[in-house]
Amino acid sequence: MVKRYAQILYDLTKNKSPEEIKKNLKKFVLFLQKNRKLNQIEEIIKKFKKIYNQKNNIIDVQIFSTEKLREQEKNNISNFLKEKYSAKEIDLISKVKPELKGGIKIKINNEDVIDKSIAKQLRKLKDKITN
Amino acid sequence: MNNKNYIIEELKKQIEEIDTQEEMQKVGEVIEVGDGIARVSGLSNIMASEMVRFIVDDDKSDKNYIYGVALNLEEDEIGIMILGDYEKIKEGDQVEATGKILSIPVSEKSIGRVLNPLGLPIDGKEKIKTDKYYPIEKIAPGVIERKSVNQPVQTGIKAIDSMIPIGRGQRELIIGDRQTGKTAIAIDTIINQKGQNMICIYVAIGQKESKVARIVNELKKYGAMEYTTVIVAGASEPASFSFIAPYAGTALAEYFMDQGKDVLIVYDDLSKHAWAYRQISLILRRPPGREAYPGDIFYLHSRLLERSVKLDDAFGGGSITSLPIIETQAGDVSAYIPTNVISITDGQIYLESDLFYKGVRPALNVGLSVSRVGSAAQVKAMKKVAGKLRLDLAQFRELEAFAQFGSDLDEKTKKQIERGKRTIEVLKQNQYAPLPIENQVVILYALTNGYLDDVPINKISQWEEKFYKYLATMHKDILENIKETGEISSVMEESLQKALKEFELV
Repeated sequence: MVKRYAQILYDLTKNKSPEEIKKNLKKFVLFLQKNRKLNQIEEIIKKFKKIYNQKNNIIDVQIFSTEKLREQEKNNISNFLKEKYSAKEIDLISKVKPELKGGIKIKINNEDVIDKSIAKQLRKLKDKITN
Repeated sequence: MNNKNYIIEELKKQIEEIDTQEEMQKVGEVIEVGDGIARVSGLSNIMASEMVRFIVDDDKSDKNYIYGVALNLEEDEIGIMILGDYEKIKEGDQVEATGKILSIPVSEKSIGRVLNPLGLPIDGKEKIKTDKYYPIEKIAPGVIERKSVNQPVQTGIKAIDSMIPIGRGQRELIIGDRQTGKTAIAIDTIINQKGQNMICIYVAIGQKESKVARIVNELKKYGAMEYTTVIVAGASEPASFSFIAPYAGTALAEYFMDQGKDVLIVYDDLSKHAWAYRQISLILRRPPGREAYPGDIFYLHSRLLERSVKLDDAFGGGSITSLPIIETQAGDVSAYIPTNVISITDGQIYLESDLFYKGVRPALNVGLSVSRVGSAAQVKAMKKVAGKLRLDLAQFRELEAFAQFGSDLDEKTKKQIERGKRTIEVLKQNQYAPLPIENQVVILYALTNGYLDDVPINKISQWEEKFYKYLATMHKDILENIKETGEISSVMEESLQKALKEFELV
């Protein structure tokens, strides 16, 4: 259900001028209100983001590291990912996560993970030794 | 000195071997966890009933992972049944897919062991090392691979072997209230398989651990652990273990069957299995149906019991005979789960608490117990005596109401009642005392041919005992002949009659 509302939202705003979008959004909100779906707006927005990113070739990237990344590093990573995924744009969020113990972990579209952290390597080592 | 260097070199090599070039991996994240079920986002390419692992990487424990099985595949998230200590899993934990369907290690070394449903030992002995794994869920063999049952399973219980015969590859339900001796029948059957070329698997589902310990001790005492594996999902373990235990037991049984062996498997009991599955289904938010069981509860048991088969010789000729157990509430066999399992199995052994308290043990209700396919596999000698036995009992039941009038009855009726009382007396049997088939045949022959009619009822068990001893010492040839040929030839019948007459004089 949520998916269909998100799809409607996408169709209403696709290739439209700002004024049109404003007008359509108002209609959409009234439509949601009429169908008593305003309480599900969070999920609809989440789904809409997904659809929008997919259609426009944008990827959602989260980077985890033990220390704050410098701009240069962030740019390098985005360029690498842009090439790898042939994406137009990259939506990048970087987070500090001391549990990684070092290295870096990249999460793409909330699903694919490239884990080059020390924590992961230690875990693999532990696996190897205990087995 | 050398040794030290070797260790260091080897360690270095091992570390180098660990692949540091990380490939991309699908990883999910725990959204919600509770009561043995986790909801996980991501992992969009996962298979149904694929194993996953939760990364619970704290430095204190020696375990990196807790395993789980994907059960519900939905649009944005999946429902996972956790196999292990689910209290260690937190929201936001990472979940990896393993790409493997849930399977258990199988090996010859499993025999004589006590295992948990994941195939890990819980008897304190060493881990079973094997590279063979069998999937827990498997589609049962098809029509072409099957054959109808033609070999008997000797339970060693007179009432069952004579009137409710079980064949190899059959599924015979044991049903009854609590405390009616259901497990006792199954255990006696396992004990009697010694030297019968049978591997036994006892699956305890949601049982008290004390009861399982007692059973394992009894099996050891009677030498039955030499050919038996016990699989335990205890009452203290999560419902997921109870749910997979019978499938795990069947996977192990299939391993032996694929080698052409005969396997006997006891599921004790499937009521608790249904409860465990109901719990899991409700927490997964699958819609409840009758008695709050999910819609696929029938399939749960039918797919399990369909895996008990007799294979055609072209496919190895092995077999899995199963004895599922169902516990009824106050004798109600028309409840949901009992009716389901009755309709799936090839017959049932119905135990009654009234009979049990009257002292008829095993407390078998002969009228309601049936075996739909086993008579094809019954030995000829037994078939010969059992037909008469059934008739005697049926007539007795009809006349039983008149029994209290005593002397007012005519001679023929009185005789039938007396015969009936003796039949019931002979069919009584102690626990852990299975009887060889040849002894069963001779005692039932004596009974149906009237040799016991003059023995007082309270002396019958004594008479029986003495008669076996007498035969074993004086007429060993009769017993051996019946055992070997499985028939009572006319020559043997004559000498048996002679032996009976001689014995009466002693």
